[in-house]
Amino acid sequence: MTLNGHQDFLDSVSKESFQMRPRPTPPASPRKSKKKGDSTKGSENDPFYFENIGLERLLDGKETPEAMQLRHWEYERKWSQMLSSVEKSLLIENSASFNDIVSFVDNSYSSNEIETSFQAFGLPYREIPTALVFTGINSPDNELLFTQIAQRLRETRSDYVVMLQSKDCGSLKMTMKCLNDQVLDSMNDYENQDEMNDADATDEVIFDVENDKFAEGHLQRYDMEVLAEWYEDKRKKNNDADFWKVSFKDKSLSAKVVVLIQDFEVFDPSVLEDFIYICSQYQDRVKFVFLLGIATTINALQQALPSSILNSLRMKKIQLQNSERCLDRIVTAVQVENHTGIKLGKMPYKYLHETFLLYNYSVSSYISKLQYAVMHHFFSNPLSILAGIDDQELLSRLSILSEDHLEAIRMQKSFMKYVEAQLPDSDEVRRLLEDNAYLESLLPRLIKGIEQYHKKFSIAFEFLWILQQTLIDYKDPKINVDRKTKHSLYYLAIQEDGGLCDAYHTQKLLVNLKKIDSSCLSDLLQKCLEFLYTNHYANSCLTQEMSEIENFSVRLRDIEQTFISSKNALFPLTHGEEESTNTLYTILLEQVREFFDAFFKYNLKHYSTVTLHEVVYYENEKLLKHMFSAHPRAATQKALDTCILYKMYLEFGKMINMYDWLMAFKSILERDGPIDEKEIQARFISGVTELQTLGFVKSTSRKADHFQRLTWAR
Amino acid sequence: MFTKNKIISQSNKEIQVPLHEVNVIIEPFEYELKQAYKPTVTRKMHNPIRKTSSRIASLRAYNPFVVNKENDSDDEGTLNLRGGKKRRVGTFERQLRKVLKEDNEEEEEEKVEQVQVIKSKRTRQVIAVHERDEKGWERYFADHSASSARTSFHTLSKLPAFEQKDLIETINSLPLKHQDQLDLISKKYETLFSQWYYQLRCGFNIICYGYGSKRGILEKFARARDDIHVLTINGFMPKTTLKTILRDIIQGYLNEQPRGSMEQQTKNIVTYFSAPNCEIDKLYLVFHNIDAPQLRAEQTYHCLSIIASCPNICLIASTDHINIGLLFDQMTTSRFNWLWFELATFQPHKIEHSFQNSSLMSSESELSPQAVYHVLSSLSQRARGVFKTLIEHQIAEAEKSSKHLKPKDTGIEYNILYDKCRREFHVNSDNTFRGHLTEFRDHRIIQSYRSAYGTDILYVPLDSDRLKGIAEKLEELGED
Repeated sequence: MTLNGHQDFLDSVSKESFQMRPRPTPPASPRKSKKKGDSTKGSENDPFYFENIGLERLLDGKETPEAMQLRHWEYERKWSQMLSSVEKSLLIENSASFNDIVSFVDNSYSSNEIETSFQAFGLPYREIPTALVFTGINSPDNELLFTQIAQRLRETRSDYVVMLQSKDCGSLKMTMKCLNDQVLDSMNDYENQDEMNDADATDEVIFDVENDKFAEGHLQRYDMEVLAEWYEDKRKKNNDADFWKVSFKDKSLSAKVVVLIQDFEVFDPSVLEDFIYICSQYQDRVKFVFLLGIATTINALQQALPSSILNSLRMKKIQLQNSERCLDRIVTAVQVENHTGIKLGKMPYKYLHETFLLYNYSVSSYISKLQYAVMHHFFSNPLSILAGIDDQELLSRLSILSEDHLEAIRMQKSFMKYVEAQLPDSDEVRRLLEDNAYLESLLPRLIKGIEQYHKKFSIAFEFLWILQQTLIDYKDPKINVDRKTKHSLYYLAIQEDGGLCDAYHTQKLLVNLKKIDSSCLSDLLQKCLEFLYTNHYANSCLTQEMSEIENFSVRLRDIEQTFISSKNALFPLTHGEEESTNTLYTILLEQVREFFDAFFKYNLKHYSTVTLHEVVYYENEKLLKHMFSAHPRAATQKALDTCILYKMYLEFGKMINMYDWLMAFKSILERDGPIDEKEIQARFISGVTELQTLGFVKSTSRKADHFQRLTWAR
Repeated sequence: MFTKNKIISQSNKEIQVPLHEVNVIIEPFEYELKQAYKPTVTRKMHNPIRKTSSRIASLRAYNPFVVNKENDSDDEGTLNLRGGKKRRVGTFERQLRKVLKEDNEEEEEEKVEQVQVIKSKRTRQVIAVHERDEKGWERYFADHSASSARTSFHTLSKLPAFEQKDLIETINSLPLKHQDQLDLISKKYETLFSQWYYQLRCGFNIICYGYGSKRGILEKFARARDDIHVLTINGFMPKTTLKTILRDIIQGYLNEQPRGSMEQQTKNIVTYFSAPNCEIDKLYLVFHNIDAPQLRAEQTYHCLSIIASCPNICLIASTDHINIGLLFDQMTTSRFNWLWFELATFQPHKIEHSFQNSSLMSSESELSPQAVYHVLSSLSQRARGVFKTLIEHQIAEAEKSSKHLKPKDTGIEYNILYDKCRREFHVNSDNTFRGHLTEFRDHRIIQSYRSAYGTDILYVPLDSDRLKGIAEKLEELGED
């Protein structure tokens, strides 16, 4: 038995938990030279650091330690680059809505709002400005978003920001306490900071007064009066005390209490109802602003709260993030515009794409899967050290490459294809396969080729996007184009083995291109040129294409100038028409189409045509599925297929008589001769207990000595 | 009659038949065919019951239920297919007969027979189809229809008693089978360790599922290296709760006493471990059976997920339950950031199960005959007599009734029992009688409740079979 040697720890279990601390080992053994508190502990100077964190030497253990370390460093570098670019693009996506929220909070009590006019008329009720923040269904992502909003509000505003979460607010009392605690605590932090900055003794006094109030026990922490009094106190101080200038730069904005309710649907409606009512009653004393995070629709709000409460809210809708647009951003950042990082191959991309759109709409889980893919790529692929590096790095990497690395390169499918393509030149082939130095000298070109493919691909992809958007904006009934999001466009690019150019969608776009009028064409060319001018790579390497488009543009202007007097715009020649101006335009249009067709054909090739794409693309879809979409039940049921008790279990109805089960079990066991009664019973009991732990049966009191069956589907 | 004919002629040509209706009248292989080519079938009626098909059609016109069904036949899900089918076949047949009997023509009489023959054949075939197809959801509804729920009244009391200690000894004495293969599997899993370390360090947490005890492997993982901080948590022990877990972490690493609510403690732990100058570089939490019954609470996983999401804490957990996914909601799932590893070890759950009180064994909540016997053997002859009178009454009551009575329903009124006992000279006064009852109650071998008439009813919470066993033993005791 494997575990025999460890029998002691297996059988002696008496405590709920067991602690093991790092054992200080004698320094004599070089393998375990680390001690707790040793300065080299956990540091990268430790010779065994990389093996200790779980890295393995690849290439059958022949990988050099340097190459192994490099994989780890590269993983950390590449992933942090990718993550930061994803985060940046998501932030851009949300920044507009964030600005909306901030300006809403700022203007919520400004004079031109309706609120004041109500008060001016002396109407008996007051409304709390409320922003309904529609967040989309994925609550884990929302948590992050709300933290960001809170941070943003705290950073720049003078307001007190309170985050209420349903889990802390089971009752009205807890909700109020939560509110008070957060407001008062946040101010403590403020004051402590001020104290440190200014060494001003006055605030300490004020603070003590505050504490005394609780100490005397006049008011409970969950009493709104506490907040109100404290708030008024602060405002008074704010008006005459100087030190507030430090924390509140803008005195015209008097501080508001911003209440963020992140998961509205999860709240107990009655708690919320009372809470809002109390707040509205105190509104003349404390300036409340509510932000309600709603994951579903506004109906949820209308159903949860009575109209009397809804009336006391002045609502404004703010759409926070659109999951699909976020996915667009991520795909653009990771797959299209990322020229140096790791990319998802065909099947992994499909898996991530589908789990996002069909299962959870979760940005965070998409990112986590992506991280796993990148991590595993560096963990398992010895060639990953060649991914996305610049010229200088490449030179240093070449020195690290061992013979085994080169052998691994020769084993790559795409490299074999490359060799086959050289076949007429047999000398070249021999050198490629046998001469290590030659292969090494070739590597920079091949590695550079991957990067160039990506750069060109991203430009062509953007062109295709511009083409699609222009055709859609053109809004002509003759033009029949589907609107595809970027992520689904990329999905086409990666799924179709012929590349995006052969895709039906692209061909359709090109066909429709022939139907546009001259103003639309000039629009399209202009957009393409603008994009090219801003693109760094295109400026240096795509000069020919650029001049070609410029040329088209000039020619179009010429034709327009010559003939525009008669019409507003030129239309392509349709069948049977004969007109000289339009002929020229039609020829130009055809040339533009041919240009795009050729450009797409050359640059939107499928990645698998690129030599050594294996270095950059992660292909292990099965592993991703195992890691993130596991089927514990199916696995267990499969393993149980040899179990006698389980086989019998499948035959039973919803109730199982234990005695009969045992008898049936016994009859099968005793087919080959009698067995000790006790043994049968013991085996039966342990088996049934196991099935019970696994969740197949549970005991029931409905009938004596019966179990209830819990699963049916196989 | 006229209207009926009209309807017949209308629907004679082509009838829209929803699936469940079809399989009554068509051949079984066709039924299976229909299964394959879902869902609504527009078909022409044909042999052998072409003529009855018009009847059926007219029936459909009369029966609002069926007509209704026909209208939304597309909605007919597979789910209620089986459960519903049987019932509908029954009513269908009854109505068919009724309609056919209304007509006195001879031809129709013939047809009734024909239909019945076909019907019975059909039912058999339909049942056969049921047995063949193993679709779980269909079985579910079939099993939950009232008729199929019948089981025998056998109880385990017929078996010799088995003590927990005895059981464990017997299980341990059983030979282990396929040891070499199991060792091979375990060895194979050990090669995953380095991958686990790397993945844990990268911010993922690991959960292992699959059949067999994963404790051995995880313990090996925990002890594979001696230069890391590991805290093993034995989730399978009933006394392990969120409270003890947090306490052990706080006492063990933060060197302070746990204070405040669970959420507060969680927060403290996370703050301690996320501090940049934290003394501990990665704490590995090895959690056996994170799905243990006593841990299945929202709060537990909420707090654990927050701890697990701390980058400086790595969690590796094992689970056995097949519905483990239901334990985590969207939030906790996202915080846990699980990687799922299948770790089917096929090893017996020896340690894990020794902590569980199997419901097959004597458990605290339920009274076992052994317990009663033990109590009685230490009591006086007279007390035993009182008890015997009580259970004899219960046995007699249970046998009188044809139904299976619960122990509670066989109880006896206080006064009647007192009278009986006095007549048999077991007690001589109300006081001694009360004394005996108090003794029984203290040992929880009898229970009582107030009846609708305001009298106390006493009973032993065991069924008559077990009571008989006790009665026999009492006889033996009495003879000694």
